[in-house]
Amino acid sequence: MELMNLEAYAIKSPARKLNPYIRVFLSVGALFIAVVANSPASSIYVFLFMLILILFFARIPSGVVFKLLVLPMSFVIPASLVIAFLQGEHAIFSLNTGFATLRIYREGVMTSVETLFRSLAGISSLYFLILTTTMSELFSILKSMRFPDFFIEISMMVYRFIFIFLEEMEIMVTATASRLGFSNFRSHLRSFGMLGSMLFIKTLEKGEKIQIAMESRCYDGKIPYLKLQFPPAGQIILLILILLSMTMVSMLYR
Amino acid sequence: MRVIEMKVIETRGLEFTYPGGLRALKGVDFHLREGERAVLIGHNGAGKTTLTLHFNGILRPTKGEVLFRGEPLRYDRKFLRYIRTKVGIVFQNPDDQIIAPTVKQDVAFGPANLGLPEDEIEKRVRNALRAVGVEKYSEHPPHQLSFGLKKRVAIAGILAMDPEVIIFDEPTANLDPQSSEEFLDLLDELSISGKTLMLVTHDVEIAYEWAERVWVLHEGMVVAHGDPNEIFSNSKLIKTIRMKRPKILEIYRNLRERSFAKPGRIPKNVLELIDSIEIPNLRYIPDGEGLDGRIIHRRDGWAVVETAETRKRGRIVICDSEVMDENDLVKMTDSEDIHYIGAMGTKAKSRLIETGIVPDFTSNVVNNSILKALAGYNCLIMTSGGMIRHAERRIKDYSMSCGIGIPVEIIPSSPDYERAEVKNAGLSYEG
Repeated sequence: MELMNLEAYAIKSPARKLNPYIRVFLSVGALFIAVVANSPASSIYVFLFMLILILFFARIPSGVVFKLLVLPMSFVIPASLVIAFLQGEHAIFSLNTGFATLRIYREGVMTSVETLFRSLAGISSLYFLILTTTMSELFSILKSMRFPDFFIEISMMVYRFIFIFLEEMEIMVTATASRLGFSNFRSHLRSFGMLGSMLFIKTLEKGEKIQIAMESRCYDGKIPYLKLQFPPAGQIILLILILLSMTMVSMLYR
Repeated sequence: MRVIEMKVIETRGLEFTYPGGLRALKGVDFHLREGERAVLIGHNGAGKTTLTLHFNGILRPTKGEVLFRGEPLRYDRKFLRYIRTKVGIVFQNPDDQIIAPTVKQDVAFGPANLGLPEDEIEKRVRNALRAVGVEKYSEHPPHQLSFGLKKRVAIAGILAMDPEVIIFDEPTANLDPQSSEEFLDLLDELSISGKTLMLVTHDVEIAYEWAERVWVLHEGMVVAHGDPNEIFSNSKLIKTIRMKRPKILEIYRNLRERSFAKPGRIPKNVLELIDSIEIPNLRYIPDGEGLDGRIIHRRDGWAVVETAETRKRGRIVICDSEVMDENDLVKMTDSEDIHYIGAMGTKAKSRLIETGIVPDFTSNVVNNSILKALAGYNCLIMTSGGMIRHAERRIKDYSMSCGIGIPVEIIPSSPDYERAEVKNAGLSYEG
């Protein structure tokens, strides 16, 4: 499971030398600049910068990064292609198909390129976050930033139980398949319905067991968080410099 | 001072009916004594889990009462918190218990809810993780761990609350044999440190070998309790409760019926079983190969020979893994003189892993070492803390009860008076 492995990369990554606050603010800041700034150059800059960080600072294998990028690209590229046909005044290409005329506009191409790189920049910033930061660090940062407790606690439990139910689902799907539960369309539908209801029942059962286990450990509305250190001055300065350089690029090359 | 034989947990006439109308418990009288190792057995649906959930006040009896150290359980918030810090339950499926996104946070869950100061929580988490040997996974999310490791994390979560009584619900279910042996080793450590332990299990082998007292629950009632020998020798009882006789006991009874085994002490493990068999000086060797002694029987190229020689005994070296430095450890374990190495206790095991030494035994270490020493090999037991004394005493007890002296050496030798005394009272070095 690719999803399960991503956090394993985060645990091993040398990027964890960097304070978690810095990692989170770097990726969120870069994302913000890439989205707000109206310039392809800054998007490209952010994209390349984050990509280099992922590959050479976080030391994530390039094959993994490539696979991770291909996934969202498969819908970002078609989407930005369509944009090229939609808006603008100056057609640079037109094709009469008989009942409709397809025109590619210059402005459209500009927007399309901009969209593509803006998406890439956003995706790479978030991948930097995911590939260097564990969920527990993220939860602790949310906690320290005064997010409401119930929100973090529910996210924490959801995160934990996604994996438990994925496992459960996998077992049930295998069991169903080995009894030919997915052999044709009709049985596919029927099995799917049964799996859904079983999963629901199991969820209830699990919930009850977890409540018992939590009560046994004196649950009192407290879930422990990691202790986070305030980032050292050097790292803060580095963060500011990086974000500043991204802003500069976006201001200079519009 | 510890009050001997004090009842830590007791139930009187405990009855429980589930909201659906299922009568799970029908008048259970049960107790756990201080520091004891008890096992609760019973068929599926006998009410074992229902009973254990009464011990920390999760379930409230329909009738009857539960007492902790003679005091009846009260079901107000304050008392429930108190009882849950005293009685810890490790559930069967660790996934039902582990809720936090990292191992460390999950172990800290209990102590944090007790409202302990942060450095105390930190300390308890560190100790608990070390005790079960999962420190190196502390930052990992639980779903990346194997089932056996998750089980250890679940145990650490309970240890961190420092309970007096720990109840394990089906602890060895789904564990591979090596992991369950190591789990029993961990239980030994806990037991030596003074905890009262109870296992809820179907595994008669473990129940027989490990328990001091066995409780049998059948259809919501206690039908028998007592010494494991007594319980498992009762053929009729075993049949009604859908259990079977443990292998060791079965072998012993068959040997006994044919008068091959010594009467008296009923063996609980391989070592005691071997010991109970009266072995004459007979050797099975290939026919014609340096026969030294009287040939009794010849068959298919093998000869049974009665020899006058007695077998040479090996010695056992007990080594404190904590105080030795790495070079000495390696030198000692590489020594020609040592044939087998055993690691006893989580600390010693992780110490050996750090130095890259692969031990031959990681579970049942004392018994395995005695068996090898009886066969003439020298053994090294790596262990630490109170386990050193414990190992020494077990070997000494064995020597006393069987009249076979096994030389024991402790490294580094300590000027400690008590220890010196044990050494002198020691062992007749038999050639």
